[in-house]
Amino acid sequence: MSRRVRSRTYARFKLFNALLFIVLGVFIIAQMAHAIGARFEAVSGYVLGAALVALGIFRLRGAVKARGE
Amino acid sequence: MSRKEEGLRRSVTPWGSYSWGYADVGADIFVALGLVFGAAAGASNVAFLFAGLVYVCVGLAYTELASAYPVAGGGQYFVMRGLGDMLGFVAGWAVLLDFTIDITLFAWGCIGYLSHLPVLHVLDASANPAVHFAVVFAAIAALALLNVVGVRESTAFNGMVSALDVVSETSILFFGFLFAFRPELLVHSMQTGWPSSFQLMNGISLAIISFVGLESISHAAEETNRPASIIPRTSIALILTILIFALAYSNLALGMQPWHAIPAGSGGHVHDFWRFLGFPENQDKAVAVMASNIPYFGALAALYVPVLGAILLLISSNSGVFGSSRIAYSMSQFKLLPAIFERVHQKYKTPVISIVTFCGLAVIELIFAALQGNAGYEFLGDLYAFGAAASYTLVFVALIALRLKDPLTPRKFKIPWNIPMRFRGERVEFPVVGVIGFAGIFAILIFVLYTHHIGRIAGPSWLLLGIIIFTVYRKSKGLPVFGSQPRNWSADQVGILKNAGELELMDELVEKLKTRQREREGPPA
Repeated sequence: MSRRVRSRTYARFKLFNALLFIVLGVFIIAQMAHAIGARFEAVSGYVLGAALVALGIFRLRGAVKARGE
Repeated sequence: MSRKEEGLRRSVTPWGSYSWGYADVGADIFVALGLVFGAAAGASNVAFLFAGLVYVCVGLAYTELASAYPVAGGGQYFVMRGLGDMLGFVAGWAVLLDFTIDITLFAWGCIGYLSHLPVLHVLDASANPAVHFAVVFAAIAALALLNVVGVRESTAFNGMVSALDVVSETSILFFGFLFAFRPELLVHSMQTGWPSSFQLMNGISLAIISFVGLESISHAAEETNRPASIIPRTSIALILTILIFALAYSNLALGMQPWHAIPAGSGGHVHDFWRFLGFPENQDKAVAVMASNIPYFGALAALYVPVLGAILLLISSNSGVFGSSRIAYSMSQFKLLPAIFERVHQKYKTPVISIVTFCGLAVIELIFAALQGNAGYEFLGDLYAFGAAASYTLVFVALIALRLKDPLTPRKFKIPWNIPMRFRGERVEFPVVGVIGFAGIFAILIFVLYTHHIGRIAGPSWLLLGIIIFTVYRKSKGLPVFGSQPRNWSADQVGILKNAGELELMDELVEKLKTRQREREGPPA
């Protein structure tokens, strides 16, 4: 692994990035649920929110794993 | 020393592998957004959702196959190995069509994005078609020349552009949803702008082009050390990122309240923003148009998004030049194409014949596209969709076939949802996602053939031409046309894993092969 990848700053950036995706995903899901609810028009938005949360969790797991190593 | 031995060093890092894929697939949304809005109107987000879910299945299939068989041939290699030489050729030939379209479409898009800058408006395809044609032609010629003399995009440069683009697209998404997104407007747009079934199918088939370029996962796999460990990690992040941007842009555009009244200078008629995005004159720069209309952020975005988009599209166009020569090289090595495509330039050691041939084809496509006038960009999109749908369809069949025919190859990453069963006396796992993905991509292929007037004729004609070339070549060499050449895939696989540095997996495979050999021979007398 390169020095950059092992650096604390990079780990923090990854963590920030992961949390940003999760917050964005939750925000979009909440916004859709509040304004549209359980209607067909919101499905694509829910999938978008879920994908953002999934990417955030995926990156968070990667960051935690890298810290462990 | 062969070009392969000279050129393919396993030095790509996880980020390098991610950015390689991102530079390829990430650029697609810049091209697809306007085309899909032009076709699917108020259901564009649904079109992206359908194509996106199919793409997730395709991405998972490529991830499993590329990490199990880390060779640069990609879809062509998987299909050849799973389904034989003839279908391997068809898959490779369809990918070649996509790469040549890629060269033209992305060079066109690159100039389109630049034309969004006020100082370069002269390059606009609608305003000055002749100038636009000349500049796109020059861009293709320059890329061909650079590839002939052996100047390759550097992984570091790709990485930098990809990082900037991810930050930029996330910013568009963030500020767009913060300042301009109105969920009620999204519902209104979907209800008032819902298209006919024909338009929706057309939109879905165009939406798949925002997810083309997964061959890059295989290309990266061949140059990545320990690909079985690295590729799944980077691919899954890549798949999710691309899906997010496609869904985010389409939802945002449908529910976006733009900064200014739309459109400026359209004869006083006010349009919905998403309709404006789908106008032919905006299709080749849709992301820049959208970003520049986000309140506050748009002032800054208008300055840099066209430039960043143009750079990303140029990299993607270059990957078409590089990728087509590499696929042709791989196909000729397996005797699917004449050996002329393996020939390298004496001085530069690059596959000059392949580069000139496929760039020449790209120029022919450019001429045909330019003759379509305002519909030129859509013409290229049609063909691009056909090539992608055809090759991805075969890759799913290959995935299923390889699970059944080659259960011993270790798969460090396996697509979830499998049914354990026995096939020809061996324990295998049948991939349910493979069947779902096949159904999805086959439906898209049907949509392409049904809704694209040009793609329906030009796409199958391209395949027919390829099959004729393949038949003539194989007959001239005394090789089977419908059958396959005998190959020792097990020995090849051991070599592939060894070359990839996956020594544990290689040992595992060797052990399994020995066990199977012993079982077949039976107990000693």
